[in-house]
Amino acid sequence: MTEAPATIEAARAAKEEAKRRFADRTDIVGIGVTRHGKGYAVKVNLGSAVDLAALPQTVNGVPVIFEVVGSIRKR
Amino acid sequence: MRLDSVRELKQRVLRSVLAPMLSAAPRALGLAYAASAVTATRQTQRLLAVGVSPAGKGQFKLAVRLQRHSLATSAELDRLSDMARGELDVRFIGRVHKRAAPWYQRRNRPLRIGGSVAHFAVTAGTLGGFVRRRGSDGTLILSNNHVLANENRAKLGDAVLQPGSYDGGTRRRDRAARLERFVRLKTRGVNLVDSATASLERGIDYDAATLTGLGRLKGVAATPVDEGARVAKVGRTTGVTRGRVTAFELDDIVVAYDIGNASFDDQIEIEGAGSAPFSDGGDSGSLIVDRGGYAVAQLFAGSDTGGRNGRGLTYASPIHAVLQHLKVELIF
Repeated sequence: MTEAPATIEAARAAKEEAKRRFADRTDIVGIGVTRHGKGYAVKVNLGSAVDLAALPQTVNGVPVIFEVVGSIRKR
Repeated sequence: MRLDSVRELKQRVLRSVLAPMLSAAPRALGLAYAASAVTATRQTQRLLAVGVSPAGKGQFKLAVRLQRHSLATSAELDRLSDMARGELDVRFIGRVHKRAAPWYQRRNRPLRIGGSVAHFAVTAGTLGGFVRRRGSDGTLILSNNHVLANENRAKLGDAVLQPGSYDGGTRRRDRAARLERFVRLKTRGVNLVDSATASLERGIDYDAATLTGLGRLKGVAATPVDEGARVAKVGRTTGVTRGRVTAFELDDIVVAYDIGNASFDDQIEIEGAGSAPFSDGGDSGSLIVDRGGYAVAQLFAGSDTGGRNGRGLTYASPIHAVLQHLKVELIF
């Protein structure tokens, strides 16, 4: 059975949980909310490439999408 | 031809064909001519240029660029063809002009949204729009702290130039405003905006309603943008660009400034449409609008990688937060 799409409220709560879980990681340069299929997901931005297999694919049942964005600078 | 062969041929052509052509061309005699007479002389000889042109599969041709049509039937071109045994890539390019800077990197009077602007000690950023303090008639320029206040290092009243110094602006000639207020950037704790205002100098006119290339600024969007929303901006470096919101309510964004890293919460992430980035250095301060022309965010940072086109992601603060922190309202 496929899981129902996550609501925005569930994604917001999962984002806060992801921030707690990843608090010690220095390679994360942003955690937010994004669309995923018909629902929402947590988006985690990485400053450098990492082993994605070692990272959780869901938090509280909400999908987590990782993206390597590199360093972020003032424009 | 192989690359080393065509390079060697190019040197022979420069010595035996082009050098004699140049020495035979009439010289400008500087002060010997009156200004009006210079255009009547034949001293601006348009000749030909040579280089290397790829021909595929590791092969190369001698590139020949003609500045006059008559050179296509000249003895010089026949000689080049003989020397290259026909392996030429000949094109007519005409007169070559210095490329003029686009309007958003030039001096604009009246001031325009999207034009170059900066504190005198900053290179250049973007004039995002015009605002007024509630209960006051004075018009203010809206941009980033790091554009107008040099990352907290400026003093209130400092000169703001249009265009910014990187685009040739000087304090003597191009002062358009004075730093009026800024939200301090914190390298400890959380930031919500990178924003500042500057009060217009007396007599400086402005156009607060036109987003050049995009239409009219209609006001401030009533609701926050969602993922997938189509947005656009006009900025000092990349001009008009369009993009798509890829994430929102982004926290813990770590942005590199000269004063150190600063962390931001509750931000918007945008990717460029097509194959172009949404922004580049110098676009900071740009007002980001939705498809209806309503302001949704203020651009301040970006990455060089990420996004579906791999051209990097842009970060922006929700416009409501910007206006609230500065205690101003948008003029449009």
